Formats: sequence, structure tokens, C-alpha cells
Amino acid sequence: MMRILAALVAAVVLTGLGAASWAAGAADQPKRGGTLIYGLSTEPPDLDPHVNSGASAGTVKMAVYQGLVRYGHGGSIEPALAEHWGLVGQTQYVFHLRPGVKFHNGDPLTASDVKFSLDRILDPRTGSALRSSLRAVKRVEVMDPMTVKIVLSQPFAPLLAYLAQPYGAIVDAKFVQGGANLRSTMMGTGPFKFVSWEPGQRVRLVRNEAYWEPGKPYLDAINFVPLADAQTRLTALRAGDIMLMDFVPQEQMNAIARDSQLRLYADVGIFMCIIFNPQRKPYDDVRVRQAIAYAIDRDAVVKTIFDGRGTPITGDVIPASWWAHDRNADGMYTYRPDKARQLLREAGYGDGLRITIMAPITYSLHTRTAQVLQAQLAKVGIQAQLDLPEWAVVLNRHNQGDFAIEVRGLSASVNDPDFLSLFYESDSPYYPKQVGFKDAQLDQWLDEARVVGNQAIRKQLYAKIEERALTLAPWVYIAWGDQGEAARAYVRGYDHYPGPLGTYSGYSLSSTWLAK
Amino acid sequence: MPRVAMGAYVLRRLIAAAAMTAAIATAVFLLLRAVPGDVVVVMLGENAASPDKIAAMRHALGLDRPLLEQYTVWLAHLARGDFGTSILSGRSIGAELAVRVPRSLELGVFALAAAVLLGIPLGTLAARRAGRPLDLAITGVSVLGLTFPSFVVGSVFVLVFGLVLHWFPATGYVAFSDDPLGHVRHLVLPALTLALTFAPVVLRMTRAGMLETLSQDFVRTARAKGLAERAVMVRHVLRNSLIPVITVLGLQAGELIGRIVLIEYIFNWPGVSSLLLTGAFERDYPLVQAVVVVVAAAFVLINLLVDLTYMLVDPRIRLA
Repeated sequence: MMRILAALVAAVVLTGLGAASWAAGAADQPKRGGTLIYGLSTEPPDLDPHVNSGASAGTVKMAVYQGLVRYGHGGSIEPALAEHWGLVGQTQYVFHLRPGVKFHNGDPLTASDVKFSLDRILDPRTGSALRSSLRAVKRVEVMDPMTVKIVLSQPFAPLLAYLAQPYGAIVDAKFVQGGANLRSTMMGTGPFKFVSWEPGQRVRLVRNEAYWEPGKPYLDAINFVPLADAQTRLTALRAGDIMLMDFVPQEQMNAIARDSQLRLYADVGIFMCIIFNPQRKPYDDVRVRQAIAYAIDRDAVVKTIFDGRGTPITGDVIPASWWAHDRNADGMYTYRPDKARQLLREAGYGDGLRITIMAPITYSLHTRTAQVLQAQLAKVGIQAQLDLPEWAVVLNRHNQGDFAIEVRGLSASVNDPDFLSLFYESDSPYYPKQVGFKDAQLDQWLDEARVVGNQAIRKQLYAKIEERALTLAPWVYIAWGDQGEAARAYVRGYDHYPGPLGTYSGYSLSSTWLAK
Repeated sequence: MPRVAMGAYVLRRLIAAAAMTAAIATAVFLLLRAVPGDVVVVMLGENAASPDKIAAMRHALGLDRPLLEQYTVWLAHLARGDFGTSILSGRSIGAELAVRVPRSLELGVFALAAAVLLGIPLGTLAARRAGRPLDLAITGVSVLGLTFPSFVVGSVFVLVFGLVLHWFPATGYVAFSDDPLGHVRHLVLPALTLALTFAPVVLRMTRAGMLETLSQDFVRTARAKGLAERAVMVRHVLRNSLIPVITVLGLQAGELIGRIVLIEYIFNWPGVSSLLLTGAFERDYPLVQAVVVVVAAAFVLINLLVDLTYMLVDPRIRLA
């Protein structure tokens, strides 16, 4: 009797489990159809896939264009238009193209399109985002219609990491040579086809029926709608006028995470830092720069600026989840007001110091950080004044060196520690690069680290680089904070990419679907 | 007044309006260049640190030419109705304005119509019940309407009608050709918000004008000769009370242009305001110049029309 009962119970439980897992399976089964309305913080200024015209524009371009490789879910590099590739010697990459891929106008993808696209990226007239990063590329050769070779002038470890960025898009050579203006129209191999751009109103894409990934994409169409004001964007999401939005204001993230109607997709994506102008007194004195680094209570910044959704940076700026992160440097700059005062005394500012902090009023994250710093620096005897011009003015004054201390929010643009070279290298073209900071030792190490293939050796080099950079303190790192998107709960299959790759999350629109 | 004199008056006003627009165009051109910030740096973004690149781009865009040359070239094109191309997007500004201006105009016209439809009947009602509870209620509410700035009213509307009641979409725009009903539904909240900020003015001017007219002798005469109250009101009182209302409408229409920018921003209505804002933030000189010139021209034109309307409504003004 007991046995029968036990068997019965087991049967019921098993059936229950089976039903539950079947139900879960059905709910997770992607459904085809529907139009996604995506609210963007910025209307794309142009549609050229090779030009970086901001993260929002990038999301639109990513849905239409593809490169040889791409970032997959979780941020790993995976094949896209190249099915596989190999390294010949140390300086030649051979890419074998995926057969049967067609552009949206029906043209087949060939090796000459790849050569044309990469040449266009390397052409200074294009103003492409990747040109300076790919300066190790000597030439691109068509080996046969489906094979292309990239010849490097020296070994270059992060090549794939750069090519996986959306700026490595492959365009149709015939289409562009035929006079198409890539600034105002799009035509690629991606999951969605460009239909129209109605300025101020929307960019409309529809499903590419001939897309090479089986079954994808799930959505019939995407309408990208510009909604510049973050609060308006969030209101539109709450009202259901839009289904997905980018750049969620940090102070609203916890509220969104609690809302059952909405879903938050966020991860550490932006770090706040201070940039000094070392050509000005007293910032030419490393002790003053270090004093400021010690005077910042980073935990308090995370609490006030990122609503607790962030991590203080006490050492290495390379994200803690990366292989290259140097744990030994962590804890180098913690909140030590006594040490800060002592350094100021040594530098001759024991009686106090008056400074001016520049931050763009255009971005509340930056201005709020500047305000918190102002309060914290006062505790070690530094009287800070805030100087809050608009973004366009900040860019200009930075380039002209017309500032003393500046607050910036930045990210790593590539999933490789080589992003540090944008910050520290003498001839870096990077826009927030510090004016007048040059260090031959850092230049040399950065060069070496880029060339070496062995990850263990690279890790050691980056540890040395970070240690030296932190000691020289041309920048003071404050904290990594969350950045991300929010969606209605019925939006499924969307994925926020980890860490600094967050702005490439648009790649996951090919697997996004609507459960309603 | 003889026909010739009237024609001369209209011509004089037209020339003054054209001169005013030209003066504004010049001022905008000079002011924009005095503002710090550089479109080329914004445009080059992450790659802007190299001075060669900035110089090359500036040369390509013609921004390295002498200011006077840039100005005359721009003015010559403007005179031919050519607004040039946006530095940032490379698109024709004229084509962009052709899409955006009608949207702003639509919002403005609907708001104006709603303000008149609300203001005049309520003002008439208040005047007829002057001093009684209904009058106090109407004028009281209108004071509230005057007091709250349009962006507060707009945000409350978004919250109440968009987020809580879901009667109307909170923000956005749908083209009439895509979905006529959806288009109107998107129009309601922004138009009503705009209307509510100056319906009170129309209401109060109507009420005051009516009260003044009601005390006139000819009204007593009209009543004495046995005209129905309705006829007295519509034919004699209302018509004679409308002149100050038209004046106020003219003034308000000018102010409306400014408020539309704000309302378009709150409701994400893709009219001229987002064009103006992006242009201003990114220092896209030709874009900002074009929008400001068009808006200024609209303002001047409205004032001209108001002046000419007086002439039609009130013969006495023709003598001035």
C-alpha cells in the first residue's frame, strides 16, 4: 500500500515537474512577429557604419550591418561574415567567408567587398572609428572570391577584438561605388533591412527574410524613435509608447528593477574619473594629483552618483572580471584624508588650495560627480569651484588645454586591455586624452603589450603599465558604474553585454522577440 | 482712407518686416559664432584630439574662410531660399524644415483654436454672470491656468492621462498618413497643454471686453428696441469686444512659438524644436541659423497679419 502511494506521489510530482518545465519551455520559445519600438537617447547624426557617431546611432547600424567577426552573448568573439580564420606566421590573418551570404539588395558577399570595406575604414577621408586602432594593418588582399588576407606590419594581438566592433562593418562595394551615400542610407548583410529615416521621427527597419542565421531575426520590424530627454524616455516606456530604451538614468535603475512591468538590463559600463591639466600649476606636481586621489571617498561617490550600483576603483581601471586585471594594484588609492593633507603640505599647500573643476552640465552624472567631489575635497582643505559649460564647450576647452581639472565619464571601447593605450599613449588620438602628458616608458610597454601574443606575458606588462600610470596619476579613477537599457517585461531575448561592451548590446536585437 | 494710401501702408509694413527678418538673420549669424564650442570637434568626437584633423575638416566645411565671406555666401543662398546643408548630418536643411515646420504649425494652430473655443464662450459666460459664483469659479480656475507654467501642466498631463488613465499616448508622434486616429490621439495632450496656458488670457480679455461693452449706451438701446438677449449678445456685445481679444491672440501667437519648443520637448513631438536643440548643442551653425530665421520670420509675419487684421476689423485704425 505504502509503495503504491509512494509511486502515486512520485508520478504526480513527476507529471507536475514535466508540466512545469513544458510550460517554461513554451514561454521561452521565441515567437516570431511584431514591431519593436526602441527609444534612443540621441537621433543618429548619420548612418555611416564606419564612423562612430555615438552609441545610439551604433545600435541602429548594428542591426543592419555586420563585420567579419562580432561579439556574441557574454562578450566572446564569434564568427559573423567570416566562418573561420587562421593566423599565418605572426602577421597574416586569413579569413574564409561564410558561403551564401547576400546583401539586402541581393548582391552576394565576396572578398572584394571585405577589401573595399577595410580600405574604406583605413582611408583617412572616411573619418572612421577604427583607423588609428588598426594602424598595424599594412594591406588587405583578395585571395579568391571567398578568402581574404589581412597583412600586418607587426604582430597585433587585439586585431579580432577591434574587428568585432560594429565599426568593422562590411559594406557592398558595388553599392557604394555606384554612388550610394552611406551617411543617409544603409545596406548591409545584417538581420534587419533599412526602410526609411524620417528625421526627428524614426528610423524604420524590417526583417531581412534572407538572413543567414537560421530562424532569425524574430521581430518583423524595429522602429527607432529619438527621445532625447531621459525622463521623457522613461515616461514613454512606462506608458508603453516605447518597448525598449537606452541609457537608463542611474538614479532610476533601482526603481525599474523593482517594477514588475519592466526589466532592467544593466552592467558596469562607465567609469568616472578626473583628468588633470599637468601643464598648469599646481597640477604639474605629482603630489597634488596624488593628494586629490587620496581625498576622494569612492564608496560615497558610488552611493550618491550610481545609487549604489557601481564599484569603486582603488587601483587598476581594467574591469575586475577581465583576465588582465591587476589585483595587486587594488587598494592603492583609498580614502585617506590624512595622507592627502600630508601630501598637500609637502607640495607647499598646507594652508589650503583653490581649484576649479570643469564638468559638462549636459550630463547630470558628470555634474553630480563634480558636486560630490567639491564637498569631499573641502574636507582636506581644497576649496573647489565648479565650472559647468555645455558638452560642446567642454570638448573645445579640453582640446585647447583651457581647464585645470575635469570630470569625465568614460568606458573601454574595446574588450581588450589595449584600450589603455588610448588613455596613456603619447600620440593617442582619443578625445579625452590628457593634454601634454607624455611618458616614454608607458609608450614602450604599451607597444610591447600590443604585439605579444602570450596572455600571461601581456598580463604582466599591463600590471607594470597600470602601476606606473597610477603612480604618475595623470588621471584619477573614481568608480565604475552601471549603464544599461530598460524594456517592457514582454520584451524577451534581449541581452545586455557585459562591462564596457554594453554599448554593443544592439547585436542581441537579432534574438529579441515579443511575448505578447 | 483712399486705396492708394492703404496699399502704401501695407507695402511699408512688408518692407519693415523683411528688414526685421534680415536684421535677425545677421544677429543670429554673429551671435552663434561668438558662442564658444566647435561643431568640428563635436563631429570628430573620439578622434578629435589631432589638430591636423580638425583643421582639415574645418577647411572641407569652409569654416576656415573669413567671417565676412561666410556671411555673404550664406545670405546670398538664404535670399534664394536655400538654407544650405546641416554640417553634422549632411542633409538639406530646407527639406528638413519642410517636414518639421508643418508639424509645429499643426500643433500651434490646434492649440490656438482650442484656446479660442475654450476662452471666448467661457469668457462670455463669466461676463454675463459677473460677480456670481459661476464667474468666480471660471475666473478662479483661469488664474490657476495662468499661474502654472506649460511644462508643469504638460508633465501633469503626461502623468495623469498618459501613465495613470492611459487615455492618450504619453509622448510621441505618428504620421497622419500612417494612422489618422493615432495621429490625432498623439496630438491631443500637447495641443491641449499649449491651449490651456493661454486660454485663460483669451477668457479674461473676452470677459473684460464684454463687461465694458455691456455698459455702453448702444447695448441699452438694442435691448430697449426689443432685441432678443441672444442677438444683443452675439451681434452687438461680442463683436465689439473682440478687438482686444485679437490683439492678445496676436501677441500670444508670438509667445506660442517659444512655448511650442518646450512642449515639443516634453511630448517628443518631432517639430522644429528638436532640430533647434540638437543644432544648438552641437554647434551646427547653418541648422541653428535656418531654424532661427524661419521662426523669426514666422513671428514677424504673425505680427504683420495681426496689424492688417485690425485694419479690417476696426476702420479707425486705418487712419493711424
